[in-house]
Amino acid sequence: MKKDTVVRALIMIVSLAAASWLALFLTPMQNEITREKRMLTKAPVAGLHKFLADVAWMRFVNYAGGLATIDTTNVDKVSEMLKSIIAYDPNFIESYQSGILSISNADPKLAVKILTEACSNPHLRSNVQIPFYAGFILSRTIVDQNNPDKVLSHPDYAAAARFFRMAMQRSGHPEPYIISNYIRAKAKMRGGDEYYAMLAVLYEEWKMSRVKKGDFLPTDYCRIPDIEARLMRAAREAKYPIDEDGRLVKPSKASLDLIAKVQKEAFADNHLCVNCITPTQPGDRFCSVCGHQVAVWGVCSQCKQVLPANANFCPSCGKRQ
Amino acid sequence: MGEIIAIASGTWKNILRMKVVYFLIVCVWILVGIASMYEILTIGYHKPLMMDVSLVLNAIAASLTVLSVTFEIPRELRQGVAATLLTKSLGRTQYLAGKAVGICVAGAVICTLIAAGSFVIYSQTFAVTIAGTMLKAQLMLIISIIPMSAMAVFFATIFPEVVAPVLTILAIWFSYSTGILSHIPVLYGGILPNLDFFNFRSHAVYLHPIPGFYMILATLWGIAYALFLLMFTSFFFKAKDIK
Repeated sequence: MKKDTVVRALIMIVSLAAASWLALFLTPMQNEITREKRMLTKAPVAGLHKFLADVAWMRFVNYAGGLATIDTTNVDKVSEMLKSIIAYDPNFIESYQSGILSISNADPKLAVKILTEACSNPHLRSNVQIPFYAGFILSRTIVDQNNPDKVLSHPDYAAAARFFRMAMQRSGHPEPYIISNYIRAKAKMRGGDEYYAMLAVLYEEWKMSRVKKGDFLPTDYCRIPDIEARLMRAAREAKYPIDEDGRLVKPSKASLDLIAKVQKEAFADNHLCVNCITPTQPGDRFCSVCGHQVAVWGVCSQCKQVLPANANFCPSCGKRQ
Repeated sequence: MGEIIAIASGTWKNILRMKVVYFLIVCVWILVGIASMYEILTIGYHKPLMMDVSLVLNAIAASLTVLSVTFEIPRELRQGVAATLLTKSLGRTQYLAGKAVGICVAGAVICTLIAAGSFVIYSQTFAVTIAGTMLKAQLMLIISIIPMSAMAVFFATIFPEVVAPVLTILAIWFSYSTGILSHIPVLYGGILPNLDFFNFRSHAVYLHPIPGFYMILATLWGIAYALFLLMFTSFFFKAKDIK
């Protein structure tokens, strides 16, 4: 055998071994870098997944844009188009935000299924809208637009609350509408008197926000930033509930008991009227809203003059406060 | 080494001298620019679309450049040009290596021009700076020309010019598509090429990072695989009767 042949054979074997060895490292590294590849369609498209997703998106926009409405008669075709976009590119946010929402009235179950899968996509883990949309769809009764007697989806408040909670967790500062939907879903989950349920949910959340370090907290707990203001509003609404016609009705005994408990525990230092739960001003002897007698505060202990905020001495009599 | 460079320079000069190459580059730039007009049809998704279009068109340009060698080698063999070259001190392995290097250089120049033009269009259209990931994705695409050119040389040496381009395109398509085989790394990425190692188009669009260490390893893989395939091809070429 010629020397040249031996050298070439040797180079071939060494380079094959090197390529195989490098492939052993590159394959897991690439799987780690491009995690979405696991979710991609196995169709042999020469790595053009993203481009095909773009083309499928334009086809979807073109098709859906020409429809008067997306209902049960055309939802299958629209769904197929959306599924193909997601199969080519599971990170295609627009297909969830504009696309999936467009089919939620015609095929809510499929919409929720796709959004649920999107929630577990690591590349979309910071997206707030996807879990919010899933919760939003789950918290409504959806009927067939062509046949209002046919219910396509009943509310699942427990699942909706989970998704809203997820949306809150993903956002550093959750938007008020997400918090409101979360509280409403949890209240609906409890059932019964709506005002009482809202107050009870907020009271539970408030209690959780007060736990000390080391105390047990649910792993998915997320603090509501304006919990006290919301609790105060809910207590006021529970005290003066209104019916469907907007007329004042009598609060339930359970509500009154809970309001008293909330006032005692949450608003002991907030100088609220015990009757209508309205904040009172320094020196007030009666509530300015309901006229109920209130505990006087913010006055000099000697001359009873109203003190300025953070006063060390009474400006009228000079008594140290 | 001198012989390899001589053959390589002849190859890249042949390609880069053709006016049609520059015409096609301008066409690619125009197509990339046109993506900005898709704002309404994509509901505001035209920015990622432009990035994606530039990467896809650059990948097509790379494949077409590589494909040119599948016409050149069989033609040179048929017309006796290769025989004339090989009567000199030039070895057959050097001839193949020169062709592969030449096509790599030509491909790199064309793809760099397309990438640079696309970046200018992108940054001017959207008044943004080019992210590092976008540069890296284009660089990975350019590096993928190394194993692709070896594949083209392999088919061009064994098959006639009618069959070689078709087989080369099929092989490129196969090596980008069959990611499922990557579970068998020695086979896929060792004996069979895995061009998916260089595919970061989706990554670039979403501006996800591409680690530098991975790029170095992928480049090394490309060189090792090209070397393996060239040596493998040289055994066939050595046995070939060239008139």
